Amino acid sequence: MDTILAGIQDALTVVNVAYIFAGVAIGIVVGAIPGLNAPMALAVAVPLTFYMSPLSAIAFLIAIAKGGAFGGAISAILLNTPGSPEATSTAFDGYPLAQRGKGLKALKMALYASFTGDTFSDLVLFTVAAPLAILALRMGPPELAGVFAFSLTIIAGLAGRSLLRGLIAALLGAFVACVGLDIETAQPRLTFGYANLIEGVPLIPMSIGLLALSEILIQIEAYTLGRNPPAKRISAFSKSIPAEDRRVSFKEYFECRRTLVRSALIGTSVGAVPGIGAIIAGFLGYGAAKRASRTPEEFGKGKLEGIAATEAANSAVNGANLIPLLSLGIPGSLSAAILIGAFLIHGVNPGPLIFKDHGQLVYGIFAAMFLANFANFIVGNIGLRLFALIVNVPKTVILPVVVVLCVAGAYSNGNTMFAVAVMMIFAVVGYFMRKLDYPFATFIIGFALGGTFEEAVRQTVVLFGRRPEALLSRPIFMAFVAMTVFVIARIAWRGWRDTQRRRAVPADGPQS
Amino acid sequence: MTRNSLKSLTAALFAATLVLPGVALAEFPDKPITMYIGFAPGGAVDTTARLLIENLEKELGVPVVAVQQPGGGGAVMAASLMNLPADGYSIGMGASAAFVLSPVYNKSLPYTMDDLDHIATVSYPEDALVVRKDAPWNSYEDLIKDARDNKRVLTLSSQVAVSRLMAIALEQKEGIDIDVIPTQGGGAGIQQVLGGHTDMTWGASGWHQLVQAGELKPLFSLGYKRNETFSNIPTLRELGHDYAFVDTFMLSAPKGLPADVLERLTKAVEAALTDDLKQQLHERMFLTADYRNPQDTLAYLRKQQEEVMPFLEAMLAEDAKK
Repeated sequence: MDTILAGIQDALTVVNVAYIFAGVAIGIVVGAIPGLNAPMALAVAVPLTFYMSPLSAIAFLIAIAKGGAFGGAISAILLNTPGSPEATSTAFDGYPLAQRGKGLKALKMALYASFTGDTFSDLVLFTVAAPLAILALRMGPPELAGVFAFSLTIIAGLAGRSLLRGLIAALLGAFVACVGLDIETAQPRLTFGYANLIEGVPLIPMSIGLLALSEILIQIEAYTLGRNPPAKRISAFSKSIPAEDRRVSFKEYFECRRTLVRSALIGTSVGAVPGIGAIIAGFLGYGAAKRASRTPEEFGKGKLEGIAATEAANSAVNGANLIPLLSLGIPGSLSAAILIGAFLIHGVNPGPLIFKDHGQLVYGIFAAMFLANFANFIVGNIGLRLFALIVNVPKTVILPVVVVLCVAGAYSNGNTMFAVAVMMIFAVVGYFMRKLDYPFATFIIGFALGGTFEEAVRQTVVLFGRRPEALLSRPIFMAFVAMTVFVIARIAWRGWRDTQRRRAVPADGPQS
Repeated sequence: MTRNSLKSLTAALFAATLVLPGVALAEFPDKPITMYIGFAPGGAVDTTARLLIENLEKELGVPVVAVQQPGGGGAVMAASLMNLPADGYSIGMGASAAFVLSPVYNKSLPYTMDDLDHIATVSYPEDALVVRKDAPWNSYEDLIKDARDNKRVLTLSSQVAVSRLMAIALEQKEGIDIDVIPTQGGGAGIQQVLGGHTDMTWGASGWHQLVQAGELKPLFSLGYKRNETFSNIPTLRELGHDYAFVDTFMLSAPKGLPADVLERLTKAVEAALTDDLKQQLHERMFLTADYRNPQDTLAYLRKQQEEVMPFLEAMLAEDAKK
């Protein structure tokens, strides 16, 4: 108990509080800029922390990560260009809301959801880190393969109007994920002798091109051709907007409670298992909310719950990511790997002994994390008023600026022009996908899951190739397989039922 | 000012710019140096580089800017570094496997160890093959005996070519079977061993704390000599194998560095590896400082490659069958 109090006391010094606020502010800005993300900001910030105390250093870095998790939502909502790929489905409902002048409301929902998910996940970390880490270890290659297979079923929910197009886009994404070194033989696949491709197509430049730059192209096109005139740019603060559209009432927040809890649980579970990632968490949260909703057709048209579902899930990954890091010394993500480096440089070796050897520091970090959530809430609340002004800036100013940010963001990924070229290519791909109504969300899922799914399946084949029957005695694996089969069967049955109905009542018009 | 004097001034300025690079070379370095780091931030290579940079800046008197260029265990960095100007202002921090192993099994890489100048070796990590605490083996002998007597197929989580080659070395010599499960990224192998999904994994980082906590048991290391901190772990060489591999962190530069520039850099690295830094690397990161000059570095790379070549060929033959 003394250690805990001492730790909390350590965290609450003026210096540390200042670092936490600074870190959160940096994180939000970096997260909001397409292409720049929390891991990048962390990498740059780590050498700055060499001379800080261990607690200040870790608190500063964690604050950056937390700010970054929310920042991605800002550009997703206001510009329809997610600042980071995990905010992709935030744009689905956020941008329609912003277009209707409810940008501030959408931003606030994102912030509250982010705060909720983050806090929930932190509480789980503080209370049950050790047992959860042991449980997460049960997730071996077959179990992960099961999770990924199940995750692929969310394609159906994100496919939009045509399931076929959704599947085609997902397959394309999976195909692009094949580029790189074969995981078993380390031989190059589809790299065309190009050394830059041996790590595969880089995710960040690809997603900036696909999500951000292609949207800019569409907007430039619309502007120059005089289509959908830049008519009513509604200021988020305009007096003509009723007050309830500028804030999220407690009732609205409370109505999302099931979604928030579900997404926070999904995000926390995903974060506790190394190697799944915030992108999948965001999509899973969104897909699950849509599936559970009584009005799924409202998703994608400006439903607050859609924003809550994504943001609570992708932010909840943050705290839970520290579960394997602190209790086993295993990093669950790139951000966590950078944190391990920062721990080591301060002479702290994360692992089972950390609570015994550095208990005061760990509790200090816990307190700092909690503080960072509130800092995120406060800085975010002030910041989004500033960010909401973006909507008022003329398109002729904002679009060039975002293009420059896109190029800079892509370049900073590996510091090569190659990354910029990747971004350009996928901007064109994204442009045609939008024009031809192919959902890029399923493309991203296909890409994000393609590589990891292949890895898990091939590992399983090596491990169980000689005794496939042993797979039957793995309950977690079997549960995920059963869930996958169930969901696919349900989708197939609904599709069949809809076609039957359509045949029966042709006057009913096209079904959505 | 007359038109003529303006002209002659321009001419003089022009001449000066022509001469300046020569002057600059004579006084290397007179502008910031960029160090490309071939690994992701936070890892042992990255941290070594960033600690080294602090001291290098003092030695060289100019800023040294770290630029991350991860991928392929340092191969992406090496492939891009070779095309930069050989003036000493672009250097790269990588690891020896990227020069010794990668170009041999990955024919699409545009370089070999001879296509770059190597400035110095810097440090290497303490490595070990580890098994779970409740595994039935307490030593290498236990492991091999169990595999042989009970016809048990061992499973190895392998992140890099070094441990795949090790598996081949063990299979050849002991007549046992090892299934290699390819893993990627930080700690995935350790995670699989801790979770009981695979029997063992080899690693250069991430296992130290778990061994100290008693969660993992180390059976052997692949070093030429024993680890400094974990000196109770025998090396595979002591156990009668010809296989050793120490993935040494090292600095390289584009081919054709002027001799005086190379020497200035080498001397600076040697001086930058202060006792203080060595101790810091050792105590915090489980890294052993290991300086070599350019000639010794190249000789070391060649020696490593010669030693592992038979196993590399066996690995390539195995893959060709697939």
